[in-house]
Amino acid sequence: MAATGAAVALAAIVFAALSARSSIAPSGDRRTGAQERGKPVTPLAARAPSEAGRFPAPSAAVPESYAGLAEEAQTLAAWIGARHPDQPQSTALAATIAAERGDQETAATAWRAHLERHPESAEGWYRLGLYAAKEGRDAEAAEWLERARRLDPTLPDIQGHLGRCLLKSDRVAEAAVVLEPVIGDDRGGAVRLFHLGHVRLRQGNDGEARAAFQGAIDRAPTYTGAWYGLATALSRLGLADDAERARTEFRRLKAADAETAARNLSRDESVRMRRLLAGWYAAAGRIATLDRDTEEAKALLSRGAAVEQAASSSTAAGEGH
Amino acid sequence: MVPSRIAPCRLHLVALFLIALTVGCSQPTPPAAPPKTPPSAGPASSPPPAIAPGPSEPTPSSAAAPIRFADATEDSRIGFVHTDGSSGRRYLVEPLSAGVATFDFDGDGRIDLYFPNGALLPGAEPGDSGSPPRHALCRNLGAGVFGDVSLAAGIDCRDYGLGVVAGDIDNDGFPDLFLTTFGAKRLFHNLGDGTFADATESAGVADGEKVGAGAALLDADGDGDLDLYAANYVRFTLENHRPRTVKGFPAYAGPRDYPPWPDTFFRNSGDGRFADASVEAGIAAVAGPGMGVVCLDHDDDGDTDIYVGNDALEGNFLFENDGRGNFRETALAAGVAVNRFGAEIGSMGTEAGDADGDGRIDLFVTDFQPDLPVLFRNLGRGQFEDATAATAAGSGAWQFVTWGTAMADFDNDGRRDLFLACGHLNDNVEAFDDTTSYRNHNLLLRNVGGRFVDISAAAGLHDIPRHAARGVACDDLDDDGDLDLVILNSREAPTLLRNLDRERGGTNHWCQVRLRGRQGNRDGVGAKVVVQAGEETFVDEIHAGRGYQGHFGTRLHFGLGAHPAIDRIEIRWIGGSTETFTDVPIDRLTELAEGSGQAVVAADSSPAP
Repeated sequence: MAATGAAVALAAIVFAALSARSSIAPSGDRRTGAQERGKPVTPLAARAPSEAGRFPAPSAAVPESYAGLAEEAQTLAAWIGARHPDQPQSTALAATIAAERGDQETAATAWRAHLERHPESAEGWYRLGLYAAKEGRDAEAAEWLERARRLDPTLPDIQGHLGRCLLKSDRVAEAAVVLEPVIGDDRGGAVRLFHLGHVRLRQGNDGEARAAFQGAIDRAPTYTGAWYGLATALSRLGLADDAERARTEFRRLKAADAETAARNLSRDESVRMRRLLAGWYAAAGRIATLDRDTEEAKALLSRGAAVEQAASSSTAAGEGH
Repeated sequence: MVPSRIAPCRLHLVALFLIALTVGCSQPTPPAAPPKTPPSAGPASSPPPAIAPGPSEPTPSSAAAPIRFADATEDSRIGFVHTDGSSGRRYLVEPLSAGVATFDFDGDGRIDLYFPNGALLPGAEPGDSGSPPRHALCRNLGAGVFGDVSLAAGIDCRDYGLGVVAGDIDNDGFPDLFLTTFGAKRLFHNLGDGTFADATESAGVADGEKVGAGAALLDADGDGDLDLYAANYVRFTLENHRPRTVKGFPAYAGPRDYPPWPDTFFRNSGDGRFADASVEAGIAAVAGPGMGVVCLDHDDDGDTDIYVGNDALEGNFLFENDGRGNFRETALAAGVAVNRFGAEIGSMGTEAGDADGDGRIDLFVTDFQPDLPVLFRNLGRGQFEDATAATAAGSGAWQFVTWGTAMADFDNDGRRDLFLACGHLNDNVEAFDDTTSYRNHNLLLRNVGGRFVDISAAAGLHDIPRHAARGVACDDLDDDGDLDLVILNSREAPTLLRNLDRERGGTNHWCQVRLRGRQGNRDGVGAKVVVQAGEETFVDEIHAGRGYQGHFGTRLHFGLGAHPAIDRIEIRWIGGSTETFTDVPIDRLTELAEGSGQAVVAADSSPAP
C-alpha cells in the first residue's frame, strides 16, 4: 500500500515536472524560470493520461511540424512517467525528451524526483552529473559522477566523464587517480585515454601524455582532439617533425568534420525529430513490456512504427539531406 | 556565433542514450552509505563525497567588494540607441553589430566615444524619428557628460556598422577612424580641428561589399606608418539569406552556412593611400569567418603579429610577422588555434595582455555558449597553452554568449582582471534553451593571485539592467585614475559603467602612459612598455583594435598596487630602438616621447584625488 502511494506520488512529481517544469519550486504564485522568461507552458490537461491502463495512442496522422512532434513526445513522456514510475527508464525517457526540447531544468528535476525514491540509482546520479557538466558546473558534476561511480563503475565512460570534470576543476592529481587505471587495460576507452593525456600534460609528463594520446588514437583513429593532444605532447618533447605530422592529420580530420557539420545543417529538423520520436516510442514499448503491460506495449510500438514510417517516407521524398 | 551547431551533437548524445536504454540501464548497486536526500541546487550534504570539493574562492559582499561599478549611463546624457535594422527576417548580420571605440579624437585629453550603428534592412521600418539610424561620435565634455557631435564633426555615417578602430594613419597628431560595415569599409580622416573628412575613396580602402568584422592598425613593416588589417566574416548577401530554425524556432544562420572571406591587409603607402597587399603579405592564403582582431608581439621578436578570432571554423589565425610585413599563419603550432581539447572556438572578441604577470603578453578569446572563453598563456618562444581551467578564466561564463572583453586592472592592484560582455544572438533563445537568455548581466572576473574569481554580483553588475551586450571599451573616462567601461548593447542604449575605486577610497597607486613616436608611428602603436616598480614588472603593448570589433586603451594604464614609486619605464619602439625613462611620477598621466628620454607629466593629467 505504501509502495503504491509512493508510486503515485512519484508519478505526480514526474508529471508535474514535465508540465510546470519545477516540482521543487515553492508553492504560491512564484513563477517558474520558463514562465519568467515568457516560454509557453503547455496546459497540464493537454497531456494528462486519458484513462488509466490504456495508452492514448494518437490515431491521427503523424504531425508534420517539429512543434507538433515535440508536443506528442511530451505527451508520451508524461504518460510513461505516470504509468511506470518505478522504472528508471521512464525517468530517463522523460528527461531525454525534455532535454531535446531545450528544457534541461525539467530533465534534471525528473532525475531528482527519481532519486528521491531511488537514492541508490547510479543512473540518476550519473545523469545529474552529466547535466551539471554540460552546464559548466564541473565541481558539482564531479561529486554526482563520483557517487554514480561508487554505485556502478560500469556506467558508460564514467571514469572519462569524472576525470574530465576533475581536470576542468583544476583537480589534476585527483583526475589522475580516476583515469590511471586505464593504463594497460585493453577495455580502456579512447575518451579516458584522451583525458589522461591532458592530465599528463598538466603534470608536465609529456612522455606519458604522448603515450595516452597515442592510445586514444589507436582506439579511435579519427579522434581529432587526440591528434591535437599528441601534437602538443610531441612538440613539448622537441619532436617538431612528428608534431607537425600530427597537426597535419588533425587539420585533415577537422576539414572532414567541417564538411559533415555543413551537411548536417541542411537537414530538416522535423525529419530528425520524427526519427527521435520513433525511437522514443520503441523505448516506451520496452518499458511497458518490462511491466508486463503487453497491450500498452503493443500500442506504443505500433505508434512508433507509424512515426518511423513517416520518417522514412519524408527522407525518401527528399526532405532530409 | 554558432547558432546551429548544437543539434547534431545532441542527436548524437540522444542516440547514445537510446542505445544504452536498449541494452538495459545499469542495475544500481546498493551504496555503502546512500544519500538520504536528493540534490537540489547545490551539492548534497551527505554523505561526504569521496573526492574532496574543489577549491572555491570566497565571493565578497558588495560592501567589501574590491571592485565596484556604478551605472552612469543616465548621467552621461548619451542619446545613442543602437538598432540592428531587423524586421524579424533574421538576416545574418543583425546580431553582429557592433563594436565600440574609446579614443581622444580632439586632443583635449578627455577620452571620447564612438558607437557604430546598424542600418535598416529590408522589411524594417524607421523608428519614431523617421530618420535612418546613424553612428554616433560622442565628445567627452567632462564631469561624466558626453555630447553627440557626429554631424558637427562631419561624420554622418549611416552604413551598417560592425567594427571600428582608431589610429593616426598619417602621423599628423590626430587619430583617424576606420569602420567595417556590411558593405564597403570607411575611413574618416581627422583634420585636427574637431572634424573629419571621408577619405575612403582617396585612401582606397573600400574593399568591395563584404560583411566586415574587427580591424586593427599596426606598423607591419616598421616603416613608421600604420598599416591596416581588416577581418571579414562570411560571404553573406541579402540575396543569399538563409532562414534557419533551431528546434522549430526561427534562428539566425551561422558561419557554417556561408563560405568565409579572406581578411584584408592594406599597406600604408605613406601618401594618404593604402594598397591591398593581402595576397603578397600572405594574409589571403587562408580564409576564416573572422571576428575580433588584436595585434601583439607574440614571440617578443620586436615586430607586430596579428591574432584573429574566427567564428568556430578553421581555428583562430595567428599571422607571424617576419619583420618586413610578410606573414605566415602559425596558430596551430603556436597553440592558439583551438582550445586544449582540439575544439574550435566560436570566437567573438580577442584581447591581449599579461594575465599572469610573467612579463609575456597572453591572449583571451570570448566564445559561444555553452563553451567557455579561453585564456591562452604565453609560455615564451612563441608558444602558448590553454590555461582556462588552471586559472578559472571562464568562471561563470558557460551559459552566456560572450562578446566584447577587456583584460584590465580595475582595482589597480597590479593584476589584470577580465570583463566580458554577455548576451545571446537569438532574441527567442529562451523558447528552445532554458539554460540561457537573450539579455544577460555582464561578467567581471577578478584576478586573485593568478586565478580568476567571478565577482560580478558584488561588483554591482547584477544591479544594472540586463541587455544583449556586444562590444566593450575600457578607458579612464573621467580621468580619476581607474578604468571605466562603455558597452554597446544590441537594439538598445549603451551602458556606461563608472569605476568607483577612487571614490571608495582605493589606495593602490597607478600610472598612465601616453607615447609619442617620432621615428615610429606617432601613438607608438606596437611599442612594448615595461614598468619596473620595486621587484615587480608590469608589461603592456599599445594596441589599436581589440576586443569585439572595437578599440580602446591607446593610453596605457598600469595598476601599481602599494608601490610608492616607479623605478623606470623601458620602451621598445617598433623599429627596434629601446629607451629607458626614469623619474616617472605615479598617479598621473605621463607622456613619453621617443628619443627624449624624459618623462613629462601630461598637461591634461588630472592630479590624483
